[in-house]
Amino acid sequence: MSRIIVERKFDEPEAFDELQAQEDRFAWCLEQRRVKFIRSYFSKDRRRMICEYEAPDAEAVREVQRTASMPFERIWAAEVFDWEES
Amino acid sequence: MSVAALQVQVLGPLNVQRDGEPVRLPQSKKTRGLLAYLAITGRSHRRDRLCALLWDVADDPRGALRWSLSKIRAVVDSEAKRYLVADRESVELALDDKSLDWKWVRKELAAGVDSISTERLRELEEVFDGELLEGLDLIDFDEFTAWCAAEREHARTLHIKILHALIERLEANPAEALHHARELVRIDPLDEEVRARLIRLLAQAGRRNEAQAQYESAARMLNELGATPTGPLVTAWREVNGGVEPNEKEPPSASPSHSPTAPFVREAAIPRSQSLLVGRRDERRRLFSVLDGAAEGRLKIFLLKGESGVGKTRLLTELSDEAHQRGCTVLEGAAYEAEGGRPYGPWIDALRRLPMEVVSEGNGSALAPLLPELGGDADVQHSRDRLFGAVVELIAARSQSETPALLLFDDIHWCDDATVELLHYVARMSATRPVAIVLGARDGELIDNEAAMRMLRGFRRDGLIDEHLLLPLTEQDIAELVQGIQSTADAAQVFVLSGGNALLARELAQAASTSGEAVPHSLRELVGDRIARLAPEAGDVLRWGAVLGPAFDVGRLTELVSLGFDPLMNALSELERHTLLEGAGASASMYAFHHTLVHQVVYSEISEPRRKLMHLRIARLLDGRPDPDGTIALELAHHASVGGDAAMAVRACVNAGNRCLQVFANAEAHAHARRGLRLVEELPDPARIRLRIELEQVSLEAQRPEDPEAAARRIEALADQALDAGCAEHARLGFTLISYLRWHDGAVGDAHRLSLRAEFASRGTDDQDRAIGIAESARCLVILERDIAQAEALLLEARALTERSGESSWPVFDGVGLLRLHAGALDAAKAAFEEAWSIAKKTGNRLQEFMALEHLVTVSIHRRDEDQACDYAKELAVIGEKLREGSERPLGRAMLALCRYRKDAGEYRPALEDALQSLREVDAKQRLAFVLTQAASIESERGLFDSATRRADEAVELAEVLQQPSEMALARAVLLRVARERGDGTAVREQAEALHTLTGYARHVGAVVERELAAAESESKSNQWKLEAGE
Repeated sequence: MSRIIVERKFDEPEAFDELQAQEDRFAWCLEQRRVKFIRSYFSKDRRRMICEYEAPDAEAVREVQRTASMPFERIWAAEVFDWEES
Repeated sequence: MSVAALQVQVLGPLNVQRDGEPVRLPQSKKTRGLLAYLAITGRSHRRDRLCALLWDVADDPRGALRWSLSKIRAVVDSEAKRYLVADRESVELALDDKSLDWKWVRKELAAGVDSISTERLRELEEVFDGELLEGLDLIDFDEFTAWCAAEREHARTLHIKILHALIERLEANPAEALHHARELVRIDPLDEEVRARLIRLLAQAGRRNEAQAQYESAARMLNELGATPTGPLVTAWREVNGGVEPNEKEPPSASPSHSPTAPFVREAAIPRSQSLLVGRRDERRRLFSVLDGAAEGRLKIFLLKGESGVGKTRLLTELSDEAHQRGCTVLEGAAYEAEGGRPYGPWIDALRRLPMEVVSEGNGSALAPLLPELGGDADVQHSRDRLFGAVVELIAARSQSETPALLLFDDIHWCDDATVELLHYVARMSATRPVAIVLGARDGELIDNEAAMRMLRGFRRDGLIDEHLLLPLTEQDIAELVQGIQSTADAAQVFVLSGGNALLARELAQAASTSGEAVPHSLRELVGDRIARLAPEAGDVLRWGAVLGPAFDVGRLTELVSLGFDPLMNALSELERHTLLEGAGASASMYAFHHTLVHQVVYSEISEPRRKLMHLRIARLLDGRPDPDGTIALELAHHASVGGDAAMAVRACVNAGNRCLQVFANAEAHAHARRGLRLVEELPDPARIRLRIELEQVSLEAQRPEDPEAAARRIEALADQALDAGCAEHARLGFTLISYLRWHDGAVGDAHRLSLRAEFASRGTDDQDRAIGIAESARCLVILERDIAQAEALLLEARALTERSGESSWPVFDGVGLLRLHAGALDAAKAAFEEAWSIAKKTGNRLQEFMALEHLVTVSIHRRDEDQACDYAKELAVIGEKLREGSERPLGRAMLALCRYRKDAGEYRPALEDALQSLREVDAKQRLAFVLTQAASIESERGLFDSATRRADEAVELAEVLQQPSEMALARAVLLRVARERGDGTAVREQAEALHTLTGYARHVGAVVERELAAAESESKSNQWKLEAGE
């Protein structure tokens, strides 16, 4: 499984709960594609967001984001370098 | 009516006479039903229609029909005249109005009763000898039942007209008018006008006590059915009693029932075998020897056959008592005619009769489908094998060489299929155990029970079964019987009249002792006479019992009859004393009729309208009761449908069907669904639509239809109607059923649950948005090759929704294209993708345009249409360049390079490599795997084996991560071809083995896989020497 990063940018400040609810409606789709949400980083001004997923490939995450009409700038597969391991 | 050579009487019990002599009728009830049907309809019928009428679940319906017709021919045809005309296609029984009573009556009355003389009316009235086809009910055959009910209604209407006319005309002759008024009350006891007339006639004849009894009986009956006497009855009462109000004189027993809260407990009954048994010494010995045989450690099976009333049950009771005395475990049950739809009825009764500790020694939770009171673990998945295994284990645990287990099943000609299947299974699994299986059956009616016949044929083929035909009692036996019950009857006369039938002989002897007068000769009259002598309360209890069934719980009775606790107990004691009822089963509150024939007589003596109301009252009592395991639904379905409440009956049929499915009784579930489907059309929409879809579900789960496509079309029309009626849930269920029919994998129930979850994605929006949400879910499933049947169901629903809104929807067409591609219908897939492309262009959605084109390139490659693939790929690449993020740009380039690479060898290879690298970087594994495999396929054809292997290996790895069977299979097919071309036997075997284990890939991929496997197979045979030498 790959670690996938989704970068989002919003014109207006967004509420985390609303975004979460929108994605939750497609939980079934996420599950079918074996996409697992790991964590999010939300900027304090609520205009930028980085979401981390685990999935078979980045394309699966793209498909889900598009199906759920979630806004995103870029989606890419990442390698993880943790402090202890590097 | 002048006497014809052949006379068929249907106004009463079916009866045939030839030249004035009664003809013995076939014992098979279905054959008698067919005879009556052919006689009354009097026209030609196609053979397949007759098969559908009575043998729709038989293994060989046409064979069964042929057999029945041969029996009918023996009854109706003589050398002088042939009435039955049958050819390969059709059958007709042509009787003239002299040969069929019902035809004659209808013809005479065609111009109305007014023009007929009183004398002629009397003659016509005498022809009615009871209800039309009395006792000839085939409740499992809905079409026959419906036809029979309509004919009965017609006959009853004409009979009532005749009686009314006679009473009017015989005003001057009250004695004769009284006779007809009584008959009218018997036919329609709830008609107050008729009852009032009878009361007046009785008063006129000076029989005031009887008049009062009639009033009370009417009041009680109305009260039981939830009504009170009104105008005509009360007026008649006043007239007769000189203006006194009914309640002033003596209040009729119309008080509501006082159901005791404490459960009813019957006094301990005497062992049944203590009642008199005459003769049958040899049979008794033979039956006991079955126990001895089993005690030697092997299975013994015995079938005791004989006509009804000959004494089978009495003998089996002897065996049961003997086994109990020897300390054996006895599983004892009987089938009842009215219980065909109650799966495992005899097994459930048998298990409930066992002491609780015996049942709980076994695997209680596995038995829970039969005995819900055992509880069991809700998480445990029940299966038929587990249930059957638990029953076998329980019996094995109770079978010891000294004390074998005895399975005693009576009246198996009425057994449901599930009971027979379990019995057959137990027999197969108990071959080397000390187990005795003893069965009782009416041999003539066994032929009607396909499942039981199949089991018995199996036993006979394996030489497992001994059979004995129980003959009528001898004259000496009858003399012993008459003496034994201290009757004053003339034994010789009883023997002649009863023909040695034990039940009839006993009735005759008892009647002679009690009345001393000339006794009636038929069982019907004998029992009728006995009921007439009962106290009115006991008569009511008996009739309610008969409507409840051949065996019933007193708890139910207390809720139905207008009697307090004590009078009810007295009534039951009286009925026991008169050997009309007896205790049944382990539960103290269960009663059964002394004999099923007695039940039949009591039941048929109740007039049809009253019977209907009584069934309806029971149905209303049961409706709405908590029914966690669906057992009440089984009863409710029966009572509500006979009672004529279609809505209640259909709902109960759905529940009963589901209950049967839970216990793996598919034949019974199917029968409930069929019954419900017959009734459901009477309901108004949308209830009709909803319940019909639910019934279709039960029917499909019970039995796969012969023509699945026709069923799918029928259900699709229903689902459409459901959408129109705003029943979205049921529409979805309908679409799920269609997909199940078309793909037939997985259980309907699971598929439906999945679809409900998928729908969550689109809840609460309008039709168009919902359609898109549903179609997207479906696309997701097809792309992942996860649940194709479910995807089809969702797409059908989405398409129906978009058709309503009139807006074309991209995901619906693209989804349908993907589905068709998966099914290998490449042309249909291409047409759907082109439609999707055109929609995307119209709406200006570039991403959708790209995906439609991507799929068009794919389908063109699979169709091996290289030019077309190249044209689409050019368009694809152009749009790909315009899409800012994601894998579209590299894929567009890769597809174009791939198509060009196929046409021209070297030039486009670098472009392909670049595009592939970009696809790796954006991490689009499926798209990458597709291009890699296609490139590998081209290279394997060109002999570039190393490169082809490298690419296909990478594709296999990617497909494994994605768990995508089609990509995996295609890549391995390329690897197999390369291995074969290289003559690498080890690699050929490795790839072939891997391909054999793969499942779930698309149909067009299947064709490629099969081709490669076949080529590898033939090559490895011809290169055997080469390969071996190489090693």
